[in-house]
Amino acid sequence: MLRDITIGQYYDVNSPVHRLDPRTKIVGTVLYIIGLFCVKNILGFLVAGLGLLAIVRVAKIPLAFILRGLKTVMVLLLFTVILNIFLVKGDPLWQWGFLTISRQGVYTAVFMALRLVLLIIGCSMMTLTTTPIELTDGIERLLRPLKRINVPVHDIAMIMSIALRFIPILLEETDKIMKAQTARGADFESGGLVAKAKSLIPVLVPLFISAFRRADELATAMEARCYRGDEGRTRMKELKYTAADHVARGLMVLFVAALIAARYLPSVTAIGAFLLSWW
Amino acid sequence: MEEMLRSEDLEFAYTVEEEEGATVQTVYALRGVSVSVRRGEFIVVLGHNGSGKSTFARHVNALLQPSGGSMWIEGMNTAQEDKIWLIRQKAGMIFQNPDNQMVASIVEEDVAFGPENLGMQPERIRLNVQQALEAVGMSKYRKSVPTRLSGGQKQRIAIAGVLAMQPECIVLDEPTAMLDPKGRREVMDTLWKLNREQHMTVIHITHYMEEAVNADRIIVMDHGQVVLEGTPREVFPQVEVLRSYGLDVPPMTELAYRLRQSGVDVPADILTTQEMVSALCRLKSKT
Repeated sequence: MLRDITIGQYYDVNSPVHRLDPRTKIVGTVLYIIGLFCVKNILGFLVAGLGLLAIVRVAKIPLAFILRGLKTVMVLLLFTVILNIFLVKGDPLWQWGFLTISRQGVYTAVFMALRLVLLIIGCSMMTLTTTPIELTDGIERLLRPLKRINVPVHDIAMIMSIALRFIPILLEETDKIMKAQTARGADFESGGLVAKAKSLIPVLVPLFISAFRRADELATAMEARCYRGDEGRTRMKELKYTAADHVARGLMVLFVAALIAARYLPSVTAIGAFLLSWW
Repeated sequence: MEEMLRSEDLEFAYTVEEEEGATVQTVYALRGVSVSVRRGEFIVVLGHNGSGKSTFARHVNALLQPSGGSMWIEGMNTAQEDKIWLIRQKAGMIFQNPDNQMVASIVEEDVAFGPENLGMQPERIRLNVQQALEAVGMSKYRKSVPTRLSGGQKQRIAIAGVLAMQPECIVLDEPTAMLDPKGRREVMDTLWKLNREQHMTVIHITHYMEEAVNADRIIVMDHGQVVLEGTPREVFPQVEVLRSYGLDVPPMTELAYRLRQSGVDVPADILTTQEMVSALCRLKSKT
């Protein structure tokens, strides 16, 4: 189950998208999300879908891999669709007892599903093509202006990258503790939700103790390697914008502009039709 | 030879409060430790749990401050606040758990962590990282994820992380304690290579006797004090003394000790199988 989650995973191939500066990708993703929420009709979704497909192709990431990542959010997706279909009021299409499906409901549900899918694929495109370190570096640089109002930007970025580093270690440890407890007769499988949650307490306690011990040792090791916060620290990989970043930024702005423009396009045709009839 | 490190009458005490904070007891983790290490030496510190060997190691790069006496690295006193970072760069430290000393999720980035903290220029960091990874034979794994490496490989990455800071001396606090025999051999081979080829001063803390056989000097600690000091050939034949400190001797020294007890005339300072074989052959040709 945990292996199926592709959100937040890095897909290691060498592509133009992978080589972009993380800041370009972060800002691009944020713009894309804003653009996506401006989309109101099927034409807009078409533009978004095609644009995204082009990015996936350039990034050399197999479509099947991305679709596998969608599987884990399928439940959430179905839930939203069903709720929207039945709960949005409008012109009834079908009725059975208290259940009504309205035309508006179907529209909202379909659009919501499309928007969610495109949103998830778009965001995972960023994490699939950017290593966690690059990502936190990018965030650190983008948030740098906040330092002036005393936001500990560097510390936040450091905490994020260490958290990412220790997720697999703690997962492995959880597995080990659970196996050790099972060997001594602990039962994690049977019982209701409450019983299951209760049976996790003997796992969580040693896990927390170990996490604190690890944190302490890591802090000592970092200090031994001369870590003293942001002060006087340089980076091996300096973030630098290249020509490719400027091109990518230009394309991204065009893409988002097209997304927003698509919202007004039908009205443009409507105006055309109106003018035509008037003439 | 030039002196790398010196401790004078080093003492480290901490207080233990017993339940309800009533009785306060002072515990000495180190008491009157005076040690001198020359540049390029390979020192092995042996001692039972709680002998103070780890506490001693933590004084070398100023992670701990002595409560009495002093510790000097290349003529710098570790008590000098303004020299702390220079001392930590000169005396790199490796810890027991390989997982808990890695900061980054990519090998290369982790090795770069130290030089980055020292504020080196990006080109120089890249060069240092490359050389450090080559020195420990891990260049191939430059882009790997630490979780996919074996314990021995992770520990070699940790050594590379220290090497990239261009230290004069490496202190290792039981780096092999959590490794399997293969990983232990990898780490020891790397240390020996560094000592021979780059004349790196190594202070290796362990409780595996066989890792001490080739050392230039052995320091045995017990209850916070240095109780024995000398070359392996001087230290290991003292089987009974070592036993009284809860330590074993290398298997061949043990065998020589037992043979001598039962009247077979072999030298007491045999350390390796090779030496034992030739001693026995000599004995046989005599009779």
